[in-house]
Amino acid sequence: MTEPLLDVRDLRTAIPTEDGDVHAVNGVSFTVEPGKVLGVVGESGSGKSVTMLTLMGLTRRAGAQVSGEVLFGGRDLVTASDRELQRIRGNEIAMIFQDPLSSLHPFYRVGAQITEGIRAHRDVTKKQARARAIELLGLVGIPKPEQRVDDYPHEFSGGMRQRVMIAMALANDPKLLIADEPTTALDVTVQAQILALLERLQQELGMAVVMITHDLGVVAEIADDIVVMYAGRVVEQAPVEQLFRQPRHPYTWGLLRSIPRLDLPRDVDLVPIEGRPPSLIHLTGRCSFQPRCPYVGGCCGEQDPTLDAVAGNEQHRVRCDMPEERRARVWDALSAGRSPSEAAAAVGITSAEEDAA
Amino acid sequence: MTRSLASPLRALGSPTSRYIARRLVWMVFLLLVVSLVAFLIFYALPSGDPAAQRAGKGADEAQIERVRHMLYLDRPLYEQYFHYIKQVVLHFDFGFSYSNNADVADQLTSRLPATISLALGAAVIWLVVGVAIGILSALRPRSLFDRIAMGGALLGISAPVYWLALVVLALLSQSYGVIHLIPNTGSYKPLTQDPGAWFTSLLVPWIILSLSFAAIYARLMRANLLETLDQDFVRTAEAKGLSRRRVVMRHAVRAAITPIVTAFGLDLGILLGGAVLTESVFNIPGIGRLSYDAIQDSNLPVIQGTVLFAAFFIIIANILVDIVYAVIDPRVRLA
Amino acid sequence: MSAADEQSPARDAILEVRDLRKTFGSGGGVLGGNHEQVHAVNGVSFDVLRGETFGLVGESGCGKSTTARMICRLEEPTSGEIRFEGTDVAKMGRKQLLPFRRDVQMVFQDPYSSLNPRHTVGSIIGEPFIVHGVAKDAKERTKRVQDLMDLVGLNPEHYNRLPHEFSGGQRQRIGIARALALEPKLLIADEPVSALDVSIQAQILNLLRRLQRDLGLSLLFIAHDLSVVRYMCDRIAVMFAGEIVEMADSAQLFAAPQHEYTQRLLDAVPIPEPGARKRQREQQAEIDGVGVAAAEG
Repeated sequence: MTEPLLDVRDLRTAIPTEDGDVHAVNGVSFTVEPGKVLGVVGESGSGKSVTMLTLMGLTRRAGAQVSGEVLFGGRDLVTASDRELQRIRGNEIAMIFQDPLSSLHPFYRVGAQITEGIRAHRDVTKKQARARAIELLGLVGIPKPEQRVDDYPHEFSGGMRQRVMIAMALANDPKLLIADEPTTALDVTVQAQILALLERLQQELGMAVVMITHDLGVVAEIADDIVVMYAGRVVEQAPVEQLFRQPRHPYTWGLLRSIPRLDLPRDVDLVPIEGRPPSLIHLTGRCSFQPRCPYVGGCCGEQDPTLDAVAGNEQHRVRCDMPEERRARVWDALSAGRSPSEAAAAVGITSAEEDAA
Repeated sequence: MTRSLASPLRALGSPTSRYIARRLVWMVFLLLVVSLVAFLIFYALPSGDPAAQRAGKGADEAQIERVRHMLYLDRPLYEQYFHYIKQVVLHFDFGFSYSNNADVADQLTSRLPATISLALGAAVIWLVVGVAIGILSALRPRSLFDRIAMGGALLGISAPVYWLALVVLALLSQSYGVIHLIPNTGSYKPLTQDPGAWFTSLLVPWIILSLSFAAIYARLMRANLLETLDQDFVRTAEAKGLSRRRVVMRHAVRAAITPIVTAFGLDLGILLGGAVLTESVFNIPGIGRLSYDAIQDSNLPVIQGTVLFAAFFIIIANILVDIVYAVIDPRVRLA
Repeated sequence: MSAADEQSPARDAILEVRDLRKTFGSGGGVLGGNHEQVHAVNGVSFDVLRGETFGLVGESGCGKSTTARMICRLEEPTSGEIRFEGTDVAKMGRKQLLPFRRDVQMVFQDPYSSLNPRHTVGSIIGEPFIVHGVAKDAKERTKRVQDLMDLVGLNPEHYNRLPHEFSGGQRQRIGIARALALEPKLLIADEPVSALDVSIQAQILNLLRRLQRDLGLSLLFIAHDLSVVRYMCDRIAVMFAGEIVEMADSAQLFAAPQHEYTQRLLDAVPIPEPGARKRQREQQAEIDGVGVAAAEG
């Protein structure tokens, strides 16, 4: 195994608001290997975006309290100076966002916005930067780049705008590209094109990609590893095949069973995750998924469980106290089309057991 | 003057010039409406007999009637109005003042430099001060500077100009002030006569007039910039690794300043029509002072002239704002 | 189901849409002359049968929402006919319009902006009762509102809360309860789950499915997400550029899409199964007789 490109260790971010500090990220750890794709999956409020913004230093302005370590190329980005971070952003680590229209400045031509990023990090002439901008626009599949370089963002379609964002992000050959829900605002056919583009560029350029999404389908195709986040924590992480074949966390099960899928028979009922995510202002210190978990039984501890490796597989980690053997049986029952309550009953989890505990 | 602008523009084919031509046609229409409304209001309001006023003290019945005839005042209202409009359009003739028989057009043009001096000077001050304070406040919200600046802005908005002006005048006036810190305060000198005296005579009026505007602009700028700093494109600029200064100035401020441009154009347009209070208190012979005096004397031709002048500046300002807006924001299409 | 039922040419349609068109004129100021016309909906025809869930699916700008808005009379059609229970909606007078407004209800995409933030949930759900003069007695109204809240899975004790105290999914339940208050015959749901988190989406989809079954509702379900539409609908019409390009039974549509655009849409849906897409592509390539240019290096 190679040295990780990015090594996030116990990252915590609290953002002050009028209602109190929002503990958006509560001890997140993961690594990204060079040239690999990491999928970060979670719903709104899971802390997936704040984690990425924090490691880029983009939560500093909001007065975020940050602790932990983010090691990138031998430096700790948490303690790095603003100047140092500025040199890394858009250069070694680039980022693209969900809504390409609002993410591009409406008043500047796309070429100017790309060259600005180049000249912030490279000592090149305007002419060279412009040539590079045109080259980049061509690389991301924008037709007639030498003409479109002088267009304004509003003159592009949604998918083309996201291509412009990608071109801008690639300007300085980053080692790591963070894509925060890059296709959520796009139509499904356009989404497919953008995903294919990202996959192609990732392979051609050999950069590492962190793909943030709420849609398991989006990362199933292109990620090497998956991190599932809930309430500011990583609840499960595993190589992609493993995560989809043998998911180990009740929340991951819930996610997989709650989305309608074209590859499953139509009459399989969706199983929603009942309830809603917890408040991130008042943390309980217990398992954050417990209030929504259908498998709460005697095995749940008082403390928030730790993210531990699954027996015999160092790469698969899960934050749940349920015994390994029971987890396997629950997943088998769920895979066979049973409902969560049936699955819970099948492994002997009853409310009585909870009472006894 | 509107006609001479409209025709060459129609020859140009670009959307922008077509737009301007269209707006100018619209302006002429608006000016007609404004003049008509002003005409009707001042005729409908009870006041002394203009003919008697014009004929002067001790004029006999026959003289007054002759004056009445000469001034078209014995015709139906619509004829009077058409006569007036015809004179304005064809000869730039706004008639003669009832009180001193002076040519209104001459009066207006001779008063214009003082008003422009006052309005432009104040505008520069409030724009620079207001925008600068607004930006600094937005960059450090809830800091000590922000609190003091916004507290001060609230005071600036609340303090009435006439009160503030009188207090300052009592302190600094050249003739009766307590301290003669700034020469010429309270007695206007034209720029062409003595630039130094022009500057010192206007310094205090500029500051007084710009105070409340600066306060409003500071608050507007602060609110806009705070909102803009949260926009996605600002985050993109940061993510590109641009310097803080560049993110703020080129990306955030550029976008946040557009509403300021609108407000600025309109405020300046209004002030060019005469800053009545400031001109009156500081004894500046501008359009505002002229209209104030004219209203006191029910001096219809002068009132009409100042109203049309004010309307003209406001409408022109509106057009300029729209054009500047389209230059700033490429999404705005002049169509 | 008898054979006669299946063969009867016009099964009982609650809503018939015929050659519906909507053209938006754009451009052209007061004196400007260049008029551009956008055919947002360009000759759309379909039926919604009594008790079925009919899906309209397509990408942004395909005209599906405009179609829904025209059916609810929120937008005036340029031409075409909309018949509800046999009556032409455009020709309805005041007297017929009132029952129409009661029988056809809409659920919107953004559950927050469609709820008045200053009204309690109870008064929001109970508002249709007042508007239509049903359940005039306040006590009865409260009872019925609480029954509705129970029906859509809201805690009836939260009667006096304000919309902002609810999560996105719960707000959508409020919107659904309000739509159901007057026991409508046709419910039009325009992207009812696209603003919700994935785990919440299933709650709302299952709720709509249950309600449709239990109350015998006819449901016109509009969405961009094919997998959601497949889960919900008996029959589906695929819209593209203002036209219906394909209309079929759900099972048939997904098993054998006929139109090239439907195929494209289907291919674009991400599948939460690693390698599924690749396998699909390889299968397709084999069928097409094209060698798979897989990256062997």
